[in-house]
Amino acid sequence: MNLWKLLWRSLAYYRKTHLWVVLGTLISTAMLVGALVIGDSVRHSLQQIVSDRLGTTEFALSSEDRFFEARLADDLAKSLGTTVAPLLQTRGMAIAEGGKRRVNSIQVVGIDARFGEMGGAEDFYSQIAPDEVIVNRQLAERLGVEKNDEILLRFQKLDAMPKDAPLSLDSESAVARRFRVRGIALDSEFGSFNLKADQVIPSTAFVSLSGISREMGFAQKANVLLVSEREGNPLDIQIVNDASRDAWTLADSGLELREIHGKTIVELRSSRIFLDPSVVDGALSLSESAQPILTYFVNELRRGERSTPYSFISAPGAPVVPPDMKDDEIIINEWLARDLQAGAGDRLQLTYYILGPRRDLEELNSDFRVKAVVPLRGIYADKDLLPDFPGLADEANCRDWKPGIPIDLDKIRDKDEDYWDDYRGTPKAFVTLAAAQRMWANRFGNVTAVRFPGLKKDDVQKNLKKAIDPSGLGFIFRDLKSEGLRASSQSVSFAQLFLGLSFFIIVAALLLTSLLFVFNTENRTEENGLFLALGFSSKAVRRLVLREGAVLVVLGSLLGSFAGILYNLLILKALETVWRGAVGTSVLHFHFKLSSILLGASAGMVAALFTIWLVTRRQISQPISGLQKGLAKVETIWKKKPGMSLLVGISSLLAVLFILVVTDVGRGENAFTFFFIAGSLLLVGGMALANVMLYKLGRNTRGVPLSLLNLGARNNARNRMRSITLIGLLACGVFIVFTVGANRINALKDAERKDSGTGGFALYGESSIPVLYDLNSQKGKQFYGLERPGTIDVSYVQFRLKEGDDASCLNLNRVSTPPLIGVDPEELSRRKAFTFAETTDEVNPGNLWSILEQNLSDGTIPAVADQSVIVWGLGMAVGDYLTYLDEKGETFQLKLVGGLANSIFQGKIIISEKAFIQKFPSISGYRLFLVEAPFEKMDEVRESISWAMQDQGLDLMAASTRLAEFNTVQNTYLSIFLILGSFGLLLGSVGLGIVVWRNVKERQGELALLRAVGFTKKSIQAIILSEHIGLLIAGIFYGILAALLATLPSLLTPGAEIPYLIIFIILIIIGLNGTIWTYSAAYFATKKDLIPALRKE
Amino acid sequence: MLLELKNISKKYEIPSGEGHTTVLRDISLQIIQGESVAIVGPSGSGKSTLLNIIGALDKPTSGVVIFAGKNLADLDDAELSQIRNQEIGFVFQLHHLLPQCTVFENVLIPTIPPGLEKEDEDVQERATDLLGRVGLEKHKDYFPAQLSGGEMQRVAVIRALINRPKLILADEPTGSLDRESSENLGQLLVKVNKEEGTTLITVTHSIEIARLMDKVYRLQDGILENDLIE
Repeated sequence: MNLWKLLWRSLAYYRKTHLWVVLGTLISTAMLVGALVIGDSVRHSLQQIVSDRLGTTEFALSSEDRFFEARLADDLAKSLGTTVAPLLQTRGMAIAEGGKRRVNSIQVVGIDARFGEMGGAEDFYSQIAPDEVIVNRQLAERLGVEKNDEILLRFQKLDAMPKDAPLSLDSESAVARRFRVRGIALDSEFGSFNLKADQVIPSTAFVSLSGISREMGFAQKANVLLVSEREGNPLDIQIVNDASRDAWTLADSGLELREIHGKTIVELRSSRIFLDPSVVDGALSLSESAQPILTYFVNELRRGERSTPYSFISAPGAPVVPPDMKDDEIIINEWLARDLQAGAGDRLQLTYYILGPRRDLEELNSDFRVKAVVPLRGIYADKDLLPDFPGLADEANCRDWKPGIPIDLDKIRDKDEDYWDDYRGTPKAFVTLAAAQRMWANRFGNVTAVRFPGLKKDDVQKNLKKAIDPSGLGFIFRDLKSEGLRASSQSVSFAQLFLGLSFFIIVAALLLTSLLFVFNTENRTEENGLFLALGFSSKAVRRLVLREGAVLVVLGSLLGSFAGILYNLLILKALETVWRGAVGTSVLHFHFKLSSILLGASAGMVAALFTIWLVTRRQISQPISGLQKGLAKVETIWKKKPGMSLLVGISSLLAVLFILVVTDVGRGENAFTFFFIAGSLLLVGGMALANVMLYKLGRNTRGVPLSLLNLGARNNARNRMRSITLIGLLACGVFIVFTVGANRINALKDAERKDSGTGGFALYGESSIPVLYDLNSQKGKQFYGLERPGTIDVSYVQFRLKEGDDASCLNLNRVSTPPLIGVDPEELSRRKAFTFAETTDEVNPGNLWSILEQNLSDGTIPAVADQSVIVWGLGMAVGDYLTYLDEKGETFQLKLVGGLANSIFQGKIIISEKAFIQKFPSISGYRLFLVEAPFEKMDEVRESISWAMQDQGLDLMAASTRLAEFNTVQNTYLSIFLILGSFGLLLGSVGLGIVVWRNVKERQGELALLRAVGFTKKSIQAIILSEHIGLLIAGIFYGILAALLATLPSLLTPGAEIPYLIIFIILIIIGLNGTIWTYSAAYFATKKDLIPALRKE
Repeated sequence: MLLELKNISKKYEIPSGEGHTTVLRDISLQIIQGESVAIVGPSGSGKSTLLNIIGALDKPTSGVVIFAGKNLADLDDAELSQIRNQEIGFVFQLHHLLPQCTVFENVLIPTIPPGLEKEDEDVQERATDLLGRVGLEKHKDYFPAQLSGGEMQRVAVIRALINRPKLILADEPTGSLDRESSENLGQLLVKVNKEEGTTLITVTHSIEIARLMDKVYRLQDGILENDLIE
């Protein structure tokens, strides 16, 4: 005989009761292992998605609205010794079946074979004909197309000249073309290509790079470069950026050097018309003789009654404009002098348009005094001063002009045509550069050319390349793979999430384990007493008990590890199907790390062992004589007065009262948090006071008439630990189920309220192609055909959009630069739209949105985002800073000054339009819209606007629907929690059954006595049932009371919807389940004849 | 002198907190090696409490217990455990056999506490010998549930003897047995007392058992006095 044999004998003999302990450990370990493996699986899947969406891409450059020569890829490939793929990427929409099926917001990507090479599908993408398209699986499914079907693609026409630039064209913003579907790219065939860190695969159409370039109006241009990883000798971002800087040429940024005036002057101009300030700075640094020039188109030159329409005015500097010329002086050529009958000293008025942010034209005047009249020849007849204004410069006749501003062709006279024929766009007048810039400088620049007199073109080219930093023109690579992997590795921790969601089950399972083990140990109290009597030290006996528990726990944990893997598979399946709302993707792969399983199993073991140690410690420490005689009733442990409980109970109630007063009964700031704390305190305090109450009941023997009810109450008081554990378990479960249920949000409820998450807007929309005009203006309505009856009573709030990684809860990755949206804050302010959950001190409570226009003391740009984006998407808090890269490649900081409560802006960061334009001047137009319209006509309005703006690919949806999409994620999590919590509660009610059974077993003699004095079995069962149902009711009552307090602010929140029916049903199930277990336990425990037990006593 | 009790008192607090009740009052007693002693008295007189104090299962409120020259109050848990294992054998009213172990294994339980293990062969030989002496050799592989009450109690006595203790404490050893089994067990205890030279203290209600002992004491109202049984 030895200790191991004794252990084995005990395990075998008590196997039935041990089985339940193993089961309890199995459940808690399965939950732990399952949660950790879910974390592994989701993280691994996200990393897999990074690999799928980027192929072998390691670095990428995306210059968006700026283009470079596709040959740059060849040069870079040579210098880096790896594959570099040029892409031309734009946004658009796909239409099939003659318009029956339409998918907006797709990415259209011009590619060549190199793209396929990087995605491991070279043949699949090779030699795409200009009329062929490869669509990815997602687009094919949404369009319902197959190979060889025909689709229409309408995509944004990318122009070298930004659409918001003065004199840019508002037409031709999109190209529509028919394509034959050559193939459908699966995820494994690089169909999931996406530069954004998002697990949701975008709909993509791949077309030929040369074909799409031609459609855009230029040959072989690209705006994206993908650099493949280099085997053997890995690249780093510095090497790639240095190489790209070396390979970069002026032409790659749309800059052109040309020799004019008999090659005596070299002129720098840009396909964007206005030269970027950084380019001008670089150019002027080359030579002191470098001359910046600004030439503009004016509507009219007037002197008194005489006027000359539509002319070009230039500021070419010396020698045309003498250095001493004043800013209010103008030099006019003889043709103009004749036409206006003006001479030196006369006053002229210039009328011209300037373009506002929404292409709203403002006609301004400036007065000048004629300094001199110059001949129309030599340096004064310089046709080269005319920039290549689209719709003007190339036209043969004035009457063919189609500039991006309204002109009255009727004003053009024959002599104007003659001037155009003879002198083209030769400026008719000259002003100082300062005067010109005062009138016509804009966010795109204030110079249209720089001239280098006396320099050689090659020298200028060489030196200019050195002087201009291409990163200032957005020509900068990002370490996309590392960013992607980082975003995925820092993604939403599903391990933590499911640990949190399963917490109640784990606790319930552990409680069950401990209850069962305690009962088992209590059953064997005499045995332990015997060991002590036979000379085992109490330490040895405790070890004996723990060793037995350890074997059970190890067995339970091992089985639990396997069960955890099965549980994980089940959860993954659910996340791909019924709980898809939580992840938005169906590409979750099972994956586990051995360390996770070991960690989960160990945690399960430690938790169970600790629980067992905690409960057995007390038992073994009782007097040996008591143990030996089997007198170890728990009453002896709990006989002391519950002074601490009284203290905890009263303190908790006082704290609850304090919170109610401080938070102005739910109306104050942070009421949600405080009330949850108050509810939790009430729960804890309630349990403590229940303990005191049971103590009082148990001791209140004087003057209280003996009744069955009183007897039952006293029976519950006999083992207060058990009773409180049960009440606490049930109350916690009910509390969790109720509070979780109460936090479900219904986007449809209160959607019309301006303080709700919709801001009171009926519709939300994003367009594939930017909208250039103010849709509230007559011009805008006219331009986009929004004068239809259904669109009359509506107004719009428009946002500029800088693409970024979605930071909403729909994206599992931890992103750092979410999309920026720029808006005029006044539009939201005057509507008092949305509710701020939290703000910094800088925000004026009277006009919250005005903060976006304020200059912050630290020089950062104020920004507002959805509170959940700040906390969960970014892992930050209000008051934190975000760093972005502006168009010039310079970093700037945003300060998160406010968090919006559950809004449709999830995933995006809001800044003022002014700041947006300042940082991203080239991003033209608006792509995000909020539509204010009568809610009862919402469908009609949506239909009308969508129809009118289908060419812009405007995806309109009810704002409440958008909110509901985000709420789906939250609600899905809550559903998971509710289900797992309910399962935990069921376990808790099983515990109730076990306690009942145990109680009855312990009281065999007492019950037998009742039987002996005439009670029937049924009446005894009824006594037991009523006794324990009391515990059940107390648990549910405490839980509901605390939950009601905790969720009070939620009840007052717009859109909050308490699913009373579901909660009620769950409570009924819990109640019934508890009753059934209680009854079953009472029935089976009293089934045998009780009288022999009496005799035994 | 094997055992000496000096002015032993034992008081228990009343659970309601209203004072205390005195179970043993100023008891002094001396027992020499090989002596057999019976302690009789009505229920609730404190007999078992006294036995537990002697056996180091409980501690007196006041007074001193000197066992084999050692003051039990001076010993720590490990030393007390060692005394209970090596020098004292317990026989209880209920046999307290482990239902999961065979008869043979039950007998060997006192030989396995950590740090106090005995050589396997020695103890197995002794266990077999002792079982043979009480006629249970053939039942050594039986489980307790397969034995009669008398047989179980005999196994309990063997278990108490396995470590050759100096003192056997028997607390109502025949309380749960029928008359015949009671007599047999009483004879067995006395036989062991004589053959092994083991001191025997038994608490009993049974006059027949008490008569078999060298000395009889009566415990009444917490006071121990000599009792001459006719």
